[in-house]
Amino acid sequence: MQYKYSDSILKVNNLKTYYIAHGKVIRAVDGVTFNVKYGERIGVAGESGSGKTQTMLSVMGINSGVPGIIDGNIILENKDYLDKLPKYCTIEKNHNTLTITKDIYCWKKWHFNSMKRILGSTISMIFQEPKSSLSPFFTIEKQLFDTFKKRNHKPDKSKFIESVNYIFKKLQFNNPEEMLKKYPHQLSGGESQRIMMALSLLCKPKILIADEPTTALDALTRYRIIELFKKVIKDRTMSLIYVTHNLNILKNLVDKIIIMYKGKIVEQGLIKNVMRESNYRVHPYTEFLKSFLSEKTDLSQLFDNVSIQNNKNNNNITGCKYYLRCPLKEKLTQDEKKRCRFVEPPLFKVDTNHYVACWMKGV
Amino acid sequence: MFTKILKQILLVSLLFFSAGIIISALLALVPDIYVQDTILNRVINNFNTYITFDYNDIQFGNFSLWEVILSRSIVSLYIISTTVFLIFLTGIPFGYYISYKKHSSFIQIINKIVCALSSVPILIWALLFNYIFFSLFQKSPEYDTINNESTFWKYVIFLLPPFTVMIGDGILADVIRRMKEETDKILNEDYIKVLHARGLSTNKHVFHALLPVIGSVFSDKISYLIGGIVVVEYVYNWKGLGWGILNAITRAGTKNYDFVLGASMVLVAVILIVYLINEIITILSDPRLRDN
Amino acid sequence: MRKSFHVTEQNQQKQVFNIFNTKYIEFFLGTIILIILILGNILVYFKQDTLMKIDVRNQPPHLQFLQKILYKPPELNIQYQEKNNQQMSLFDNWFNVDEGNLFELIHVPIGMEIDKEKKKLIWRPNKNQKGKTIIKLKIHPGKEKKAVINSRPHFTAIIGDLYHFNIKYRLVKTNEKDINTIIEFPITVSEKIHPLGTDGMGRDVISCILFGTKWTIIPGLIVIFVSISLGTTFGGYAGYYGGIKNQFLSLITNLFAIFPSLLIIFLTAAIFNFNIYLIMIAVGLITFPRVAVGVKNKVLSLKKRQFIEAAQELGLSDSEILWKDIIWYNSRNLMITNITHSFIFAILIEVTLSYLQLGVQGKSNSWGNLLQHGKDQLYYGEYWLVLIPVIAVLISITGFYLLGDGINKLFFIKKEH
Repeated sequence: MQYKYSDSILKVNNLKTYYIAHGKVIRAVDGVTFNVKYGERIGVAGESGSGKTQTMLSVMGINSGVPGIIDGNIILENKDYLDKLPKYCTIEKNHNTLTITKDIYCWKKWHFNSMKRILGSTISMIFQEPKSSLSPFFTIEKQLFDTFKKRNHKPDKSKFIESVNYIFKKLQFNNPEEMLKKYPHQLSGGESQRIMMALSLLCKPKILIADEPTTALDALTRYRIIELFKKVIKDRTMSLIYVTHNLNILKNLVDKIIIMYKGKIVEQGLIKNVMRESNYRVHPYTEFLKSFLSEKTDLSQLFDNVSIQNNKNNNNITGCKYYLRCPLKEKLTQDEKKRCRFVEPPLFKVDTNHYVACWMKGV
Repeated sequence: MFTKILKQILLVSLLFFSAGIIISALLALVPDIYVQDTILNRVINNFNTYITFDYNDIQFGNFSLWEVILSRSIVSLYIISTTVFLIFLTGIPFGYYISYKKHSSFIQIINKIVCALSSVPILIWALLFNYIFFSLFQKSPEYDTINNESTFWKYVIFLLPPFTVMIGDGILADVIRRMKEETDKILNEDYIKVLHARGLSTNKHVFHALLPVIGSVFSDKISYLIGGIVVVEYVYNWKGLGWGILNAITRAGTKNYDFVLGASMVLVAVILIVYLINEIITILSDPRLRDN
Repeated sequence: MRKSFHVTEQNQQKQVFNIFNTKYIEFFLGTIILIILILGNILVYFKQDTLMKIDVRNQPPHLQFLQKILYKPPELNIQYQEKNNQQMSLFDNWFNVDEGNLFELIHVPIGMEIDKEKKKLIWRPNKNQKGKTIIKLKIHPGKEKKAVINSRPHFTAIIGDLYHFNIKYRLVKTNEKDINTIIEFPITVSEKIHPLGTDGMGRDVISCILFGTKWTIIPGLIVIFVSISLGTTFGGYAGYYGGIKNQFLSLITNLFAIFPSLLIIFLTAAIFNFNIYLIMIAVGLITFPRVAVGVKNKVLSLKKRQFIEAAQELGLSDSEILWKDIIWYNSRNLMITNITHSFIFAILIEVTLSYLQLGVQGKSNSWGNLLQHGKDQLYYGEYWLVLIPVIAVLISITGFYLLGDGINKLFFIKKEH
């Protein structure tokens, strides 16, 4: 199929996913917008709890929780998979309260039915824990064959073994026949993560989402798997979205980087621009993350400033989410402080393909 | 894998043997003015009959004890098996369904009603059904009179005791709650998420994961089921093993200890067989448990 | 179905008052029922002699709505008669209806007056009429008709009050031949009002129920004491140390689990000569393995969270960790459910044993004894001896369930991570 490299395969527009538990609301994904082009590689970085995993799960449609996805557009290959969402979910805002009404079960059913065909074949995902991601009851051969059956209507055993051998060679498995007969609990961490990659690549997807695939592995296997990643995506037939909290990995792997904090995108740009040491027009959070790499971390930014948060008068932080940890606020005037605290900064264009959501750095 | 199964079989036979010892010892402790032996002699006598299986020689009215135990155990075993079958048909799918449709409050209400209904003791359900049956149809649901009835009534009378045992004593509520918890646990596992991410159906995997749960549910509940069966036999006047044991213990005059021994061993054997089946199912269905 | 969520800007969820979510209802209902049971116990203990008074036997309940609950009298009472076997006939061919002569009064209590126009019977019972009397009606249906009469069966009349009896009927077509059927309405006359009737020995059902509460609390306490003390020690040690103690516990659990519990209880009932307190100790011994397994699983799951290593580093001894941290602080939910379930199990066992005449014996009556006495009376339509103890058992069981759930939800909810 002919497509231009400048077309987007995935467009996410203002995606919102909220969870409500024990009387508290977690705005896991709060208005996230980004584009992925054919063959492009994107890295998503942020600390735990910033919503990067939840964004990817929402894009796939497999997030579980109440109420879940409530707003947005996910356009994959020119088809919007959330176009019927307003039918199942309505949002009303009455000056201080937001009322969300959603038909959870029907939405899940409809969404899963509409996404069933593309999950695994156009878009596929690799998860964090490789050992528990494989079903422990069946051999690997059976599980690969199940995925293979999905793409082809007439699954042929010989074709299956051909493609499996090809992929296994690419992923550097020494003995494919022996591997096929094994059960998942007999594999090591690195092996099972490679099996997961084989599963994802079996149907030749157009986007591969990797959600912290190396966090649960030791350093040597991590290195091996990242090398495998680079090998697999070398020919640019597949886009990659790589989610991690470690910026080091992304340096030589991706073209563009997205940084998320507390459910919002705070910075978006080409990796060479963002990671350049001399670039001072980056978000303070990005600077903080970069400082880990050069070991000059400012420890005062490690935690939210608790004294501000506990002060009852100051409970209304509707503006920039990074306000509590931002080191810039000490040098601000009162008006600028008020603006940072109460008004949410939009994404300002700082350079070509480089956007920052900060009042101070953006303008 | 087979060594594990052999180990379980050995354990089961050991338990069966020790159960016989314990019951013969307990029977010897029953105070009886008609028996003049010391306790130790009684224990040894009971143990002898248990080991040597001389049931053909002991007389019980006009029949040998063996025939009596056999005929009684047919009734009891029928009730046990039908009850297990009914629970398998109703309780287990319902528990799975409840966990599957977590967000529907209609189903939660039905769940609460079913659990409340099933917490009623079996005795009360038995009395109630007996009375309703009698006042509506003017027939008594006894086993002896079954042959005189038409086929429709035969089916109703045959199904009444298992149905009573199924919905009493909190058994169904426990089964449903256990299935719901386990299905919740399984649906939260990582591999289910991964299967969804590939657009595959998870039914096969969930079923495979639930097999050991079903086995353990039955092996937990079987002793309560048998307790319920004793009550039901008494109320509906079906002459099964439990009724026989009650009769043998509470009647005036010489009590029939051999019958009690034989009948209890049959029931213990049922429980142990269910336990063995449960262990075999867990070992076979989960590959992680096959090797050590 | 749609669900609504309300979100404020401080990231809090506005709580909408939902009646199914109030945890307070369960807790209050449970405590009320428990208090009633305890009060009954105290009342029985102090006022033992004055409560039980003997009166007319098998008196139906005097509460009006209980009499309206049921149904036509069972057909046991219908007799086939060929001749007019009259004891006292006041009017022949009374209650003329279009289809022909339907009813004939055969027997009526002394002093009953008949109001022909309004079709009623009026009666004021006499002191000398204490006991059972009867109204007998004879039906003369046509060849293909049969009358079905509905009225209040088993009526109680108090001496000195004035009563009106209305007899309603409806015609039903049948294929039966011409049958003369006699239908009886038994009436019991007594001096005192017994709102829930009397049993076979003439005792008031309410006082019987109160006496029965004696057997709910104390046996339950015995079972709890035995099973929970043994269960927590065994389970705690097995889960905490593992290894041999774990296998020992599983062996004992298996050994107790293979016996059908009710059979062992029957044997112990026979051994201990039907002394309910000793039987309850044996019940405790039978139920402790399940408690132990539950505690062991909980201890194992808490062990995985690794705060035990932190506590050990802080210098706490093993037993302190086990008892204080794990069991007292963290497994309160489990303890409360174990306690309430043991109580319920004790009540059930006690009722079953008394019903099978293996439990409480002699003069003092537990609810199971009432059931045993009343189960034969059911076939005569005298339902109150079975219905009232059944309701009492159900209320106490649900009370304990609600209490356990309520305490758990109110006080011991853990915040999940």
